[in-house]
Amino acid sequence: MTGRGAGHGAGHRGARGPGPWAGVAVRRADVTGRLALAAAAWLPVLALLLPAGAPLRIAVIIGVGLVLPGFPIVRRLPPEHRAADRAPAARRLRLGVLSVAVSLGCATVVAESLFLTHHLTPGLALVVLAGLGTVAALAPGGAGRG
Amino acid sequence: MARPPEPHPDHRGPALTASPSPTSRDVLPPPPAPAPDHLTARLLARVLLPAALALWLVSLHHVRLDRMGDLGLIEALPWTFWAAAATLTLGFAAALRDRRTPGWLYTGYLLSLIAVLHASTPLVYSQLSNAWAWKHVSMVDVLLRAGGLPTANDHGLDVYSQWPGFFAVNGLLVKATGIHSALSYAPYAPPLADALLLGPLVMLYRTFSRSRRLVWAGAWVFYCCFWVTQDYFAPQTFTFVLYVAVIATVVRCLPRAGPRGRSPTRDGPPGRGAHALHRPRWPTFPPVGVRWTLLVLLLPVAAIVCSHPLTPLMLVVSLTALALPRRNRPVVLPLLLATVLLTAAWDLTVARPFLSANIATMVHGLTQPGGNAGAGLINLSLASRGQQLVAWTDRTLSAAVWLLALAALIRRPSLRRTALPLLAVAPVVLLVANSYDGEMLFRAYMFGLPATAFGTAAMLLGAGRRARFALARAGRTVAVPVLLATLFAGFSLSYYGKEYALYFTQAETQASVWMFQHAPPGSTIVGVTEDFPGGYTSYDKYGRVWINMQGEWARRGFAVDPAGTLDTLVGDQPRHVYLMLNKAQAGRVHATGLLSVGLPQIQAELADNSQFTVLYRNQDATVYEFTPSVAAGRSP
Repeated sequence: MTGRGAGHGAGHRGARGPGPWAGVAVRRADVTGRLALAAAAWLPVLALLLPAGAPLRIAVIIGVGLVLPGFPIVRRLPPEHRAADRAPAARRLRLGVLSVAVSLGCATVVAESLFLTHHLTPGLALVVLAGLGTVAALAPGGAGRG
Repeated sequence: MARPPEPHPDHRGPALTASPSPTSRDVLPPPPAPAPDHLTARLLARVLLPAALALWLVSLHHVRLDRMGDLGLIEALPWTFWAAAATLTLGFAAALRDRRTPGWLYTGYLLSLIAVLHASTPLVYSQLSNAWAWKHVSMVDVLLRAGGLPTANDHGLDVYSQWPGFFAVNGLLVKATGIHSALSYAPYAPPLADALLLGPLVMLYRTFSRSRRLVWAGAWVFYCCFWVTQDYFAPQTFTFVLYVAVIATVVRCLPRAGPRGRSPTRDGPPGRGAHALHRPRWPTFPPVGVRWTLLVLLLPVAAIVCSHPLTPLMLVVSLTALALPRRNRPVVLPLLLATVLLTAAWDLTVARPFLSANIATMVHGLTQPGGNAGAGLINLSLASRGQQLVAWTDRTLSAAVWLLALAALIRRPSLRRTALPLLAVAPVVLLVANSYDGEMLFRAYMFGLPATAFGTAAMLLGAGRRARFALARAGRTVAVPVLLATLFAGFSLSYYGKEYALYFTQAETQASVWMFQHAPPGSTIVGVTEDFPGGYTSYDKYGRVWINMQGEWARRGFAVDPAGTLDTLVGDQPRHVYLMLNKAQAGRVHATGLLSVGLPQIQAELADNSQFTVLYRNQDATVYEFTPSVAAGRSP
């Protein structure tokens, strides 16, 4: 009920400016985005079902692995200070750079930990990374406030 | 009625960072119409990029690898490649001239530069180049086969088993994607790593200046001066990307320095209001956004710590340098402390055997600062004429980068208030502490380059900017593309000029594969250098002896008495001894004067020696079996 009403109200009032339902619509979009990110984190695990060396498997694992779980983690970070993040280009650049760096860092730390404990298997490593991405995407807390 | 176009960020001045108020926007005059020469520059910038890419793609079909000689790939590249480089440089210079060049066009130019500089070789070569890249592929292969990295305490292989982060993540990638080996993607490591560096570099440079032209010119200069061949498939490449990302993020979190109202650089003054906003004050505790950012940075820092021995130390000295100004300490000290703790924890646990074995050498290195600095330079009196030219070019290029950065700091006081001088000087501290097997000079240059390249760009773009006379202004218009082209040429000679020993033919790979297929486990593989593909194949099953690593006596001895020298080195080996001689090793010997004679003369001598039996031969490589004289004496 809340969802339908919120969507309708926001759409109706959108033309005249933000109304009382605008915040609900933003939250709804945020929840949808979070759910999409959480689902995307499991794509590499699903890709393991494809044949070994299949182009789609390679593309999904490398493409998703470069930005997840870094993106949902970095997306939630408040800006360092207001002026630095005002320009959209600067915000996007920071998001991109940190997402890749954190994702590579996560993958290395997970692979290293499993390697040192003699448990390095692709299934386990990708499940751990997907779990991290899911928790980062769905955990409560504000994104981008500060 | 048509609205006037939105002013470009470079023209907005204070509005970029200060709160845009409706009143100020209303009273802002429309931007001035671009001058005719700027329209020409805008048109050129958009036309020359696709033209350069087309020329480059055409040039790849005409590379004559058989012509590669003393100057490496330089002799093999067709004129269309140089035409592509000139077109790309001219287009980028035109883009710099137009202050409204959009970010996507700059990005296109930089990615095209990376493609031309670093994607040409993997697209033209049929095999992975650089013996060190093959070595790291072998590490991943052994990790996947044996489930670990067995300690093999020769040629520094034990270092890999104690900093295995890079190999573990590549092992995971190979297994997860189901591909056969890291060999299938390792050739593309240079363009990928360089492309990943672009974002952190731009982010770092935006903290030095608000001029977009200067930011992108700095990135261009960085790639044209990054000649040290440290972007191949290797742990240091991986950790360098993370290092620049961490440093760029930290510097972005720092409060700005300088008197209020002054611009950080002369280009793009932010204005009084903007600068006030850029100077948040937090006396002892950074704001929540900075604290969370520093916390998240622990992940790439941890990856650096477990993947490479030197990069964590570079990170520690760079963070220490950034912590020198008092205003930076609330931001930098927590991350510095965490990095030191993580590094110490790793070094005292997983990497403890390596450090215990090498602590004496490290302490000795502290007492040899002069020797550390010059340890990696080749002896020019022995080098070939081509390599003398290459060596002088890379030395001149490196010195020019440092001198221009120094000049920029002198001429632009505002740059001194940025993190640039601290980041440029910090790596030099390690140069006086350790030689790092002769590599420290190049590593110090590499880790300082993100900062020094920006200083160089500031000088190149700033030359003549206050010229009063039309002739001087015209000279500046011509000077920028000429200087950028000179950097490109210098890079090409320094980087491609060493391909004589890095490029491997298919025949060389076939010979190496044949040797490892036929050599029983426990055999010893011998080479004059390790410049052949797959020299570390199944490194846990074979012994290896490289003549150039055995000291001066072995190099002199092998040139005049190969059998006697090998008798001394491997005469007591109970198993088979194989000697591999190939084109790349011959190139290295000729170019560096490693032996007093060339490999062809030695091979002619081996043909008459009964202790050497040719097992395999093709046009680029020969595999011998060596029979020690003790064993020969035993046989009838």
